[in-house]
Amino acid sequence: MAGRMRNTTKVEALIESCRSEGKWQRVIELTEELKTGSPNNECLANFLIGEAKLENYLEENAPIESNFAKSKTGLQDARRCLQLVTGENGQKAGIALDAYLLLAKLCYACGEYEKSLENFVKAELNTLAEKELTLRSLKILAESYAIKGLCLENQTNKPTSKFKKAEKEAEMITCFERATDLGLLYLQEQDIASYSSATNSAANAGSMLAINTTGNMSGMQSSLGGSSLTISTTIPTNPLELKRHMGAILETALQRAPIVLIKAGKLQEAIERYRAMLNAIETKTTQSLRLTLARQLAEVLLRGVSGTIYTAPFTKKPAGQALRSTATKRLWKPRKYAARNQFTPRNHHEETLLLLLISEALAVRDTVLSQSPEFRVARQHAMGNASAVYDLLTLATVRWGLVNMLQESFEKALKFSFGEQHVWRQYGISLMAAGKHAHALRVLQESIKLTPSDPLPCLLAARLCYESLALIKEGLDFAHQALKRETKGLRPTRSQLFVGIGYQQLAILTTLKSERDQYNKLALDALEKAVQNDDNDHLCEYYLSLQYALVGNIADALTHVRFALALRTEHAPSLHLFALLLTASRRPREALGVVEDALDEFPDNLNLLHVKAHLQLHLQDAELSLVSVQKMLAIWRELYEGQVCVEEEKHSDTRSIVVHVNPNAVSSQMSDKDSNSVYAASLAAVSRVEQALSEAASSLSSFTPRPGPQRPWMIQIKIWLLLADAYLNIEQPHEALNCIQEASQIYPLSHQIMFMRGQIYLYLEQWNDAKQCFLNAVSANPNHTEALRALGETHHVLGEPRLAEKMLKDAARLDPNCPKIWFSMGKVMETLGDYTASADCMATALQLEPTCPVLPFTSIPLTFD
Amino acid sequence: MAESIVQDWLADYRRIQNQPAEVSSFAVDHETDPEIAEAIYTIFSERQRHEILVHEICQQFLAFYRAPEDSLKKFPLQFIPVLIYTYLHAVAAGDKKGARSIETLLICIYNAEISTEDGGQHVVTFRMPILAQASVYHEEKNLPMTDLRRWEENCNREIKWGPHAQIEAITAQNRLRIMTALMFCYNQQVSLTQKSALIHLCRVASQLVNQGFSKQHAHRISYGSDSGGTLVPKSITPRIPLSSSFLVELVHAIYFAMFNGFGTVAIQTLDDIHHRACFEMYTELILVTSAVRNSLHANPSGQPSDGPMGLSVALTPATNTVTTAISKSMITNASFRTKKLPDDIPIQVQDLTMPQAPPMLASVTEEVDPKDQQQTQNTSSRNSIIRPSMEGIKAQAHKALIAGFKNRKIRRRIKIKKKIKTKTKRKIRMVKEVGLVGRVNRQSRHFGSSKSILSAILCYNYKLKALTWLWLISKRAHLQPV
Repeated sequence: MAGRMRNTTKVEALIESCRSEGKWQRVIELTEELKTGSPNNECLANFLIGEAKLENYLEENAPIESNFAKSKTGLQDARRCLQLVTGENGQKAGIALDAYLLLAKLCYACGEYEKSLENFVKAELNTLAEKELTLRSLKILAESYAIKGLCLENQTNKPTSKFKKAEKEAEMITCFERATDLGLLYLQEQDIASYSSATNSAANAGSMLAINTTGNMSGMQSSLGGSSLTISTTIPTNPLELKRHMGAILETALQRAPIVLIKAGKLQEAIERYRAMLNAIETKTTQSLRLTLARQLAEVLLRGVSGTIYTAPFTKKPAGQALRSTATKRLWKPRKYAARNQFTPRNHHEETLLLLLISEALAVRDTVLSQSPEFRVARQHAMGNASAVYDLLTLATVRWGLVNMLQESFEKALKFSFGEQHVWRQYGISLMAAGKHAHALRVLQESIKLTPSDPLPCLLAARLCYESLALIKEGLDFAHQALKRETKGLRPTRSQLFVGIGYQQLAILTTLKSERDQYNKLALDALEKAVQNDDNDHLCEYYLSLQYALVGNIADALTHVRFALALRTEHAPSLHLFALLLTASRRPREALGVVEDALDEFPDNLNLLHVKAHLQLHLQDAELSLVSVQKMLAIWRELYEGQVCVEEEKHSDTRSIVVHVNPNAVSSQMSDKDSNSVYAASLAAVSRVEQALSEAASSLSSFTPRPGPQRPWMIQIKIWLLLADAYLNIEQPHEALNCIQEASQIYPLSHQIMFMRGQIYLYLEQWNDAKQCFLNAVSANPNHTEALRALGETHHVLGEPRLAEKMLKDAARLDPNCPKIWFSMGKVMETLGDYTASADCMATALQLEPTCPVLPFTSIPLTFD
Repeated sequence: MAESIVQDWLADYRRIQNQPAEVSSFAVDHETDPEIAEAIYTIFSERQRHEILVHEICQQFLAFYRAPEDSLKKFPLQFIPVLIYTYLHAVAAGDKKGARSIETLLICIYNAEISTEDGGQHVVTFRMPILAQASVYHEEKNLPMTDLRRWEENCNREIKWGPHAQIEAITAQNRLRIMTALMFCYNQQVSLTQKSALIHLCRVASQLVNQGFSKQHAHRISYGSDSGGTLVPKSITPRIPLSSSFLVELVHAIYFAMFNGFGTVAIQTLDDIHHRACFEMYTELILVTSAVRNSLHANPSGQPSDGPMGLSVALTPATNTVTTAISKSMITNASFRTKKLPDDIPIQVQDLTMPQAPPMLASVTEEVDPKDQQQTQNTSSRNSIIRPSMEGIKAQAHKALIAGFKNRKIRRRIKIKKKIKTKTKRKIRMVKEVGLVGRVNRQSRHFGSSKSILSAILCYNYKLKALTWLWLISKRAHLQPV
């Protein structure tokens, strides 16, 4: 007898462990054994078989609406078994309660919500006291609350009175809440159990079947509780091991709980629910759930909570902790993260970003790298999850100027984004926004391949080539490609304009006359076409006007710049061009007026100030010009000093790759774009020469190049040179030399500095020094026409007319529209005795003079705004 | 109709303005009455016809905005998008004079919003969260290492909005910056405004970006014939100049509207903004708009129609979609286990007592070539460290060198090397201690690299440069409290 008893106990223990591990087939086998072993356990056996059949069935057929009808027949056996237990025998054995709960689950699986609720009433679910439970009971109870909540939500007959409705809603919400707490607790316990069963193979499993029997479980629980810490460290042990599913019912309830609250209009409570669930220590099973929850909470914060109604999480923590020490409160609550030095978000933005970072890490971990077709579904699912997080991250970061970080995230995403056009495109654009031009171009090229019909990446690539990389030919190719992709009749794009800009730039850069004429013609055609396509675009009109100006057609240029200004009154480059065009038609006073008016609207625009100072010099107002240049220096300081200093910081600490960007810095970058370098059109290529030379210089001497981005420094050089020019005009060569000194501390080998130094020597009538300076300038940049002309003139003064002729001819070949060159050439020819040629040259100079602007048209920087 | 409602509304407030009790009851009525807001929207949409009325409304808004009652104060805020549109539209059309009253109102609101109650500057800041620090929502040890690394660089970084400078006048240069700041303030308050205001937000946003893009406008008079005088017929509505950051703020507002009852309209507006972004090539804006658009396509983030705020239950795919057999051979990012290298040299307690520790040195010398390794493993006595290398060098020296003075040079070099060796040994011990510190304080960056410095020392064995490294280590070791 005693032996039989022991045998029964052993079987019971086995059954219990199988139950908690969900091995239902084994449970049925063991129950058969139990039945034969002790026939008086018939009631228990019925229960076990009913339970096993129910669970077995539900594993194959999820309790969803499409399965309801099928379930009604499929679950007949289980229902009969369980109903047998609800009788008096069951009451005696203490398992009737469990049977009712399981019956309720069964009814739910068949879609019989009312019946299910009735069973819950019979089980007196509402009156259960909190106490320690076995794993299986915990699951049953969690699921019961979940089912009750779901039933209440899906109930067809809605209560009529308002009061009842509210009551029902409140009950539903408590059900979901309990379900989430118990569910999470169950999953945590399950983790612990599977861990401990691995270590001490279920040695102390008792036969605590029913919920009402507790007994000595508490001891075991607490011992397991002690090991919880070690468990959580080993969670991501082996991702390839069979993942356990928590079951559709629990998962639905966990996700449903906050949504129900939002539906009821309790946004704040819903957020608290999300927070509570995310605050619970994660388990193996909840990893994907946590991803969903974290993302959803971030969504709620982004979509429904603006700054003013937000309350930070866990602000009342001290009080909560005091409460938690009383053991009764904790029994049915999941364990929470409680590390020291936790990061607790203080505001909306912190919490959103934290959640998104966590979801990113989780989503990226689960992405599928295998490219074989059988994983397609899984891969797409994981990709969808990841890109959802990336999209939210984009939304949350770009506003704060955190493009750099975003770009890093996308970079990491490339690993699993083979052929994903969205990720590639976003990556390319974020690189472009972060100012990594060359890298951006490569990525955009890939993106162009992935989206064969979209002109946008082509246009972006073209812009990069024109604006930052000085790859005009390549840019033109991209623009052509974009034009080909453009669909006519829909919204206008700027492809045609970009083709025009490309030709225009090529024409400017080409030195061969025939080629240049050809490019000019192509540019004019393309720009005319662009204006026809979109006659409401000020940029097209502006470039068309610029093209006319470049080929010397001042009248047409003026017409078109007026069109451009009519389309956009406050367009700095158009105003700039307009002023230069006015100087080219002998109206410098009017031009000065235009510039001054423009400066009222754009007080920080260095280009316009440059023109103003130059015009003032031109009109013999050197004193006023000095004031303007001083203002330019002050503005430079305001705009760029911050940038440059930031960069210095970056240099000192090479670890921090990220530049400190705040909206302010962004705006100053914007104004950088607006009022950027003074000769930016030719700057890209030329500054590269200077940079290379200066680098060479730094290797030779003790010169160290200035830190930070090069562009602000280039602008500063320009300002110094202009200032030197102004000082020369008021006959202070010493001051001018000081300016040159300042400039050459930035880049000693800039050809423009050499040229200016030569000008000072010219003024001082030190011809040989001047010649040397001009020679240096020409050897640094052989295409610098002004230096060539000045060299020619110096040769002329030094009595070397043949050399002078050679230099001036070179200069005239490069820039045939400059009257000064022709005039000097005429004088040289005169000295050489070739009077016919001299007369021709003078005539040309006279002819050109009225249409010559005070500064070359190419001095207007390239603009895309 | 709208006119009379607004007239009454203006008169009502003027009448009760100085009676605080009545003002608060007026404020309450105001909240509940959507008609007034509607009427005001109507007036703004026909600005040119009601110039005086617009002026009076602006004045009243200003009075409200300065009123002590909160509900009155926030009433004008819901009109910010409309005000911005009306203003920008007028400016683009060259009618700055007509929009003076709106401009003044906007300047006042801007100046008030960028300063705090006590006159300081209003700054929104937040800390950049990092995954390397445990938070209420995660433990750092459960996340992959690479993620922790990456964001660590932003540790304790403060992100800021503001401070902004007070302005006296709006110019072309600061106009959009001011509008951006105003939209940012609007976004902070957007969940407090009446829901019906959101539809106007969408409408106005569409108009802002679309104006001047419709094809049906009258064809322009052929140009080129006249070089002066009027050039463009008035029928063309000019496009409104916008900026990337302004539109990004606008997208945030639209995003809110999308998930708070105006899904269809907001999606349409978002498309409009996206097209404008692509036209102007605003990179940041394109990032945002395409992110939102992508999240609206097939994507688990949810559609506005899916439920409250587009949230829905997303069950993980059950085992039947991916059978377990397949999932075992499937490679995910998690399949790669980055083996965490020790932050620093492992501490071995006996190291501190014993003169040398082979296991520790083995871990140190992993980047050194075998010869060196052998060399360092023989650190039982000071002599034995040096001997192999010395002998090697000497052998080489015999082969290569004939001249005596050269030999002297070599000898001196060896002497220096000897010095280095002894120093190295001392440093190794120091680094051991340092390693201990590194363990205690893992966050500390100073010692993250001491391991690499040490291997660098061993590689640099034959170079004087090693001295600098050693100096570096000793300096760091002094700095760190042990």
